[in-house]
Amino acid sequence: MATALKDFKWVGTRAVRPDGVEKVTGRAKFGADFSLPGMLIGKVLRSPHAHAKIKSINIEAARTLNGVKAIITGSDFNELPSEWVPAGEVQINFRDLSRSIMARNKVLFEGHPVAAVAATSEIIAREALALIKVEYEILPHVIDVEAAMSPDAPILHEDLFTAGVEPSPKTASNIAKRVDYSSGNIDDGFKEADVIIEKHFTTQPVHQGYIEPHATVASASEDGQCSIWTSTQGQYVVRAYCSEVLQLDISSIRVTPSEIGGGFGGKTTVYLEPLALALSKKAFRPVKMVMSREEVFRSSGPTSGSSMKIKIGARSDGTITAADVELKYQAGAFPGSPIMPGCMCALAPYNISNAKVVGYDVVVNRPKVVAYRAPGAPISEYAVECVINEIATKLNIDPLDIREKNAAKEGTRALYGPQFGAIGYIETLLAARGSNHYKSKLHENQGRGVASGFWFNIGGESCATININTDGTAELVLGNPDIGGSRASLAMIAAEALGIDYNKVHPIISDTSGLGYNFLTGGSRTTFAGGLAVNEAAEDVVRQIRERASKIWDIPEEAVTWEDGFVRPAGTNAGNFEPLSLADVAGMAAKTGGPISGHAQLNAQGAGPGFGTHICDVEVDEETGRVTILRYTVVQDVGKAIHPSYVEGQMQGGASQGIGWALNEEYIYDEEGKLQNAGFLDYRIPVASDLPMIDTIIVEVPNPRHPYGVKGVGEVPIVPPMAAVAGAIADAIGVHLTDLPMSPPRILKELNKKQ
Amino acid sequence: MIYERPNTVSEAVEILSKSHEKKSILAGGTDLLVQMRSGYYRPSHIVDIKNIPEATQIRDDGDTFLVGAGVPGAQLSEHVELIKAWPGVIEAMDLIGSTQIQGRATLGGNLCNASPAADSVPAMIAADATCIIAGPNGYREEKIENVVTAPGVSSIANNEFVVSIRLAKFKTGRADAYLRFIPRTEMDIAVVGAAVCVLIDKKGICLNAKVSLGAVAPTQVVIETAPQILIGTRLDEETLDKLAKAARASCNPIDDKRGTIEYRTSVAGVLTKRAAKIAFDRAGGA
Amino acid sequence: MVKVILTESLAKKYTSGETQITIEANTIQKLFVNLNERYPGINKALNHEGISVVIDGEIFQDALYERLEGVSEICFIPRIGGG
Repeated sequence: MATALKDFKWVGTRAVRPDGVEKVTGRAKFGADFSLPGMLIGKVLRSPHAHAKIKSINIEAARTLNGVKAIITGSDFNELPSEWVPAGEVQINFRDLSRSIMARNKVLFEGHPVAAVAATSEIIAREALALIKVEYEILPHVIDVEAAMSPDAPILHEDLFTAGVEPSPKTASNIAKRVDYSSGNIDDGFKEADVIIEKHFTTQPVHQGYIEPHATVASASEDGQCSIWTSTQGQYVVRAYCSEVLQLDISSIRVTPSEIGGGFGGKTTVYLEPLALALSKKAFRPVKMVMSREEVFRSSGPTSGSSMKIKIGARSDGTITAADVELKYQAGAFPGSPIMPGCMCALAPYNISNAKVVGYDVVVNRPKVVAYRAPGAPISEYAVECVINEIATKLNIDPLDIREKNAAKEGTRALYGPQFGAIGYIETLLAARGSNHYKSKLHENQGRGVASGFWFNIGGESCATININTDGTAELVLGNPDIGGSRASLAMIAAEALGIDYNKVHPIISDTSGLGYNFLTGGSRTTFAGGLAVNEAAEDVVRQIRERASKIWDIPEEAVTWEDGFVRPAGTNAGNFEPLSLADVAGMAAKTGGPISGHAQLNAQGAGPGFGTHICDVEVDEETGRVTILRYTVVQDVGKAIHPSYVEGQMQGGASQGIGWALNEEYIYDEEGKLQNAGFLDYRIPVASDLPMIDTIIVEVPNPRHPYGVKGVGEVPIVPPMAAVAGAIADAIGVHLTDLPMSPPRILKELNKKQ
Repeated sequence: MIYERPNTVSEAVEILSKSHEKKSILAGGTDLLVQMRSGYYRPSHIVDIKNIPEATQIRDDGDTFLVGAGVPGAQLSEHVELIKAWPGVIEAMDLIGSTQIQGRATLGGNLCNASPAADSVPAMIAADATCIIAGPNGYREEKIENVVTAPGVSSIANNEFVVSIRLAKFKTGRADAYLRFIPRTEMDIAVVGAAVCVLIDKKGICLNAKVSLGAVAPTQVVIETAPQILIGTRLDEETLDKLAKAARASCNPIDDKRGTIEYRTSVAGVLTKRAAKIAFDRAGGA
Repeated sequence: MVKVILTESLAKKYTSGETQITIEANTIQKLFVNLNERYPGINKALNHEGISVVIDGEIFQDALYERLEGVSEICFIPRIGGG
């Protein structure tokens, strides 16, 4: 805490991004930019059906095609036990992961891989795919979450019995899990309420929409050594997953992350990497695989769609007396929706004595969902925030006031157990109220909405190495792919801790062989946990510098102090020596014991929870139902902004994605369960001209568990937008919409109903 | 796959007259290349018309403009006289794609791709434009509304191609406008498109009008009753409501990923009315 | 002595509905042993990779060897990943 209040030289400035020039000049190498001599091109044959039995696969004609070097199908993969096991830091069921990347007896979604081919050219690989004959027996399918839960729904997995229900069900269903949280007594709570709002909400699955499709090159040699170059959020996670799925020693795989063109959670898993490696292990030639945008939509995971019932009661002064929440999340073809965090986050911003949250994890014939920015939270919090807005309207209370009245603060016990520490939720509400935006006037057909959001933020395993060169410059070796500017923020922390110029610190992202295990870039952890590791590695450097200085001056190590980038004798008693800079000491490294290199490896704890509050103004065209976002402000507690521009970028990016989620993004399936809009033309993420400049207000309530006060930033800003936009639309047209996306046809329909 | 780039109209016609299994004319390529890259379509023969002078120039033949079928949108949007004469046609063309696409996309390609949602086609129809078609028997000229016959199908024969589009010159009292509805602000395909061209006298009384809709039927629609609704009026509110009603009545849309029947029909009326107001203002009414 | 807070569903299953338990332990590891002695089977539900331990409000992803001197409250939450 003390350090967090100190004046910093680098931390808090808007330093130039170390990867900036490479990126704006097109030099930066992304996933698809890697090539190796003798490289083959791999392509995937995907299921045209949403749900079908694979009766046979005949690869003979493809195998004999000139130029085809390897073919794999489900039979090339080991059957793994169905259990949730740790993979580094996450829980994963490797049987399901393995089946998700390559179908076995059944295909469970349109786009499910059934075979992959490596050939000397893309054209040959495509021809080979056309020659593979797959015989399917089409089964009835289910796309919608409510339909999947009905007793007569087609069953995806005959061995799936609902967990969390006593007694355990005897028949299989699509409900993988039921979870619940409760406190107090909701019946008593609703009796105390003067107003009760109960609403049903639906949200659509939305894709992370990263601009760079999945791309990978894998190369296996005859001695078992494997290398992978890939676009990922975590090179160590790719290594761990490939080692499990292909049953290889971890040490036999080396993974090098490319620059990454967006991930947002979608690149926390593997799709192509194990396939490319399996093909390469057959052909002993490098294999490159790049997904098309269509493949990204058909077969990589979005986040869950949902069906939710929210009932909230409040006294006439706005005090919330009870909340009853039921959440049904689609998991896609295999269990594992973010229902748990969805349940835990639903009411987290509020102090509610009587609450109950029940959640269901439901499988449907869609691609398996994967993490997307604060996975699970935006869905449940959207519904709860909408109801709170409606209560505020009904009670004629300002929506910020009703939130402040019920806001969680230090000491509030969350429904899921713990008490909050130093959180900054109320501070975001106050900053929102004080903003020029909130004070500004609106015109006809315009409306304003607000909403808040919470996300946990995490720590996890991180390593860092700082090599000090003889000229006093530093090589900073990091283990997390840089998605949101982490090279800059971590180099700034290194410069600050070492007392050297930021421009003398050169950060690089290591392959898996350069550092110990690093959990992936996700959970808003990289600047927080990576920052802890970098700070510790810098402390290790400083310890070595002091030790070298003690040698040079021939005084005890305790008599050497480190301050502002210089070693000095602790006092006149310690000796009368001129201070030495880091560069001075580094220049004499060989003479004083060899290179100076600091290391740190840790499992970061103490991540600070994040809260944000958004304000949105819209104008609704009452004749077409079209919504224009006029003005948007993101307010967020970030602990401490190491690099304010990249913090603002995260806040703006989260809001932009949330606005897309709110207004236009949805998957459109036909009656056969085939996706109709597998491309950016008809899957409508916002384009630049759809959005105003998104304003940001950074609130800094320092995290006492971090030397620079850092809390995670990247995920919270996608939580509030859907409810903020819905609130603004409600304010403009007087109708509280409950289904996403709030697309023009849907709004026009509501307007016509109203008339 | 064979790619050819003839230098003259007759060379092109000669190539087209030979029998080829899957022949494609390449103008800007903003539809064709996307279809090829996505694997949906593989022509066996591509004939690029961008080396043919008549197809790549904007010519003034005295009474009319002849816009080559290979002239990109970016060039049209900088042509002062065309903008003055046909602001609606130019804005329709300019709505297609992005800045990069505008460097390639053409009026001719937009027409011959024969999409019901093509932005420039209703505008050209409302403007009474025609196209010059070259074939083995020489040239013929066809009204734009007679070109698209079904989604993806045109009345241009296999051995013919569109060389240019003919648009009249500026005339006082005449103006056009095009509006489309998309859920976003750009980079999208029309859910509904509405083009209106009006001719008014000095007092603001409508002397003639033509109204065409896109994306509301298998082909572009001409609202046949529009002239009788508009002529003789000052496009007052009541008249425009009648026009909107007529627009809705002429819709025959489908439910698809881009819009519902109900929505398309409703918005067709709204856009027609709004486009008519703009055209009327541009023509000097008010 | 530390206070252990359990969710209602866990309490229903293992502790006859008791959601607050006071128990002696100097490490998390020992806490699991002692809890399991009192409530057989509860160790299986709490002591695995899918659960994070919250010590006085702070979430620990891996807390098995954390010491509990001066700690007043423990609870358990599912491990959080993130995007």
